[in-house]
Amino acid sequence: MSLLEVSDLHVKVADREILNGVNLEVNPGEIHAIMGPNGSGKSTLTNTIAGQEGYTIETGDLRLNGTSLVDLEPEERSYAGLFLAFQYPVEIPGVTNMEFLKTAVDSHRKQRGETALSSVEFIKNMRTLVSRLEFNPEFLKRGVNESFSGGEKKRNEILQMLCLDPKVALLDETDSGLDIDALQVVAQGINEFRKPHNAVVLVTHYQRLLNHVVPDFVHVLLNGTIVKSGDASLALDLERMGYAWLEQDANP
Amino acid sequence: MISEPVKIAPWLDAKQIEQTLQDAKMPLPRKDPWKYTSLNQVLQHLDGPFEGNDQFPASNGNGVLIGALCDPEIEPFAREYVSQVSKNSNNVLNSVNLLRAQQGYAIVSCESSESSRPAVHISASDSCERVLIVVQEHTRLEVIEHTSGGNRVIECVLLAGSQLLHRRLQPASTNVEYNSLTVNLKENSNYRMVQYSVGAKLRRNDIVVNIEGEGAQVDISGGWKLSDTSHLDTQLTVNHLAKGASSQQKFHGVVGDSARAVFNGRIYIARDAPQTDAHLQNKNIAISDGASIFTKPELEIYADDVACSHGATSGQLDEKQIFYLRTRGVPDERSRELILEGFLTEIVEHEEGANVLGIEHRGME
Ligand SMILES: Nc1ncnc2c1ncn2[C@@H]1O[C@H](COP(=O)(O)OP(=O)(O)OP(=O)(O)O)[C@@H](O)[C@H]1O
Ligand SMILES: [Mg+2]
Repeated sequence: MSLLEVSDLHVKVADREILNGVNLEVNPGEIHAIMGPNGSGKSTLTNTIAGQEGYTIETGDLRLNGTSLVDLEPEERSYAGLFLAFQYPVEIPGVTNMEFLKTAVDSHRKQRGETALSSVEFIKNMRTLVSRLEFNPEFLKRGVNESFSGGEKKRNEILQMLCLDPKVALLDETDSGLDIDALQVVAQGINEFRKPHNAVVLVTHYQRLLNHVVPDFVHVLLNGTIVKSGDASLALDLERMGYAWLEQDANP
Repeated sequence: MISEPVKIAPWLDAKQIEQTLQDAKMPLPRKDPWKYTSLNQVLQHLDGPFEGNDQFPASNGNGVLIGALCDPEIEPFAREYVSQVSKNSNNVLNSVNLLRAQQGYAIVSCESSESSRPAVHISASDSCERVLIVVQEHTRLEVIEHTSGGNRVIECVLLAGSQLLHRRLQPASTNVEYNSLTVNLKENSNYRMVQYSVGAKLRRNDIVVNIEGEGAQVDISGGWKLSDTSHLDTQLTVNHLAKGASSQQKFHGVVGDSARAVFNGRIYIARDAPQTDAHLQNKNIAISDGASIFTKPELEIYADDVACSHGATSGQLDEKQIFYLRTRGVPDERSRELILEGFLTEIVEHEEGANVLGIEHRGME
């Protein structure tokens, strides 16, 4: 059984059909990259999978581990093992990163019938993760993403992913805005996260990240549908040729 | 004319005060600054009866003088400052308070050191009181004030180089309450205030700050969390009358049920106050359809070379923030709570403040 299955997904946003018939199958252990021009619907796809309000599923299905996500609340999708690293993580002033992460982890534990971690235990776990991501521990005390630089926000998304250990991680342009060193750190984080039983879907515009995190499949999303899928070499073709040749294919 | 003395300060001439009251223009109900709070209800409240209170505030240490306004040690200060500090604020309710006050006392800081500063607790009482606070040159003082259901007029003067930390705790109350606070700052003095408020039947806080000395610093913040049918009205005026001073004002409020929050924040910068740095911000979140919020920032600038900003907003919880937390597994309800707590935490500096607002203190003291 595939881990994530998107079948014939049609999604409307603000009365406009943005996705028209997306199919995607992600199996355990796989890494998928989704590429495509600005506005082609990549974030719409990841946000819809995560359950964002306002993204109406007209037809089609979303399944995680065989269970349909369509009627689940965003938090239930999280408990089911889904994680979305946002393209634009929001700032939540006054809520410290640490209490946010602890609340999230404790909510998951509660769901599994486990008791909350003690603060001491939690802080210990966090310190290990934080140093692995070469993150300044001071960031744990600051408000969630509050006044973080673009790159720090992205690193914070990876920190959350490692904390929650999902089955499927959707990473929406987590590589955008990262400096060369931060890209290495994030790539390393993703590679450490990879296990035979989980999977990663990367949305990206560049080959850069894919040099470090080699995808098993690359898909091109254009005008709300996947017009081409291939192996890692497809990303190199796109880097060379852009999307125009595919648009001609898609609209003959 | 034989004048009757004022009970708490016999050297003051009651007849004369009555006369000023009669001559003064009474504020008009339903007009600013009484547009959203019933002036009549407040006047009725000032008529009493009050339970009264004969306790003076308690101090935790030395270096501070506390006593009745007519206490021989206090009287020289009282004669100099009572009703003088607030004389330019044209607040007739301050005069009403003077005539009605059952108790009048002063807190005078006399000495403090780098390492210690006296702290004075003013407890809540259903009484009509007049309070004078004098922070003498280069001394430091902390005042922790509780209000609940009374009428308290505080006049406060910070002499050169002095510092006052004032925190005001306003717990839930079913009464009408009127508080008036005037603070005059002399050069290089520093006034820091935080006000924590939850619901009362009607709670009105008038705050006037006069920066009269160069280089003085003012930092005022406040948070409110209102529910049921409570009504809170905060009217804040900061007058920059001397150059090179700075003031920061920051208020955050959460309003639910059919509660009502009113905030008016005015910064006035006189021609004689160049190089002023003044900022005011009020943000509100309404968490119910029945909640009402009236907030207005005002800026009046007559000097050149000033840095000023002001802003007031009211809105709902940010759905994007809620969604972000929910995708991490935080349930909907808890997400909302967390965001609201964070919003209020931004102004919380004291554990008692967090307690008043019913949120967890995050140890940023
Ligand atoms: N909430 C919304 N309201 C209105 N239009 C929306 C909304 N969300 C997305 N859209 C529209 O849907 C289309 C697809 O947007 P989407 O964000 O999915 O693109 P994308 O492929 O992620 O682009 P990018 O590479 O720039 O991130 C765009 O035309 C966008 O304007
Ligand atoms: Mg996008």
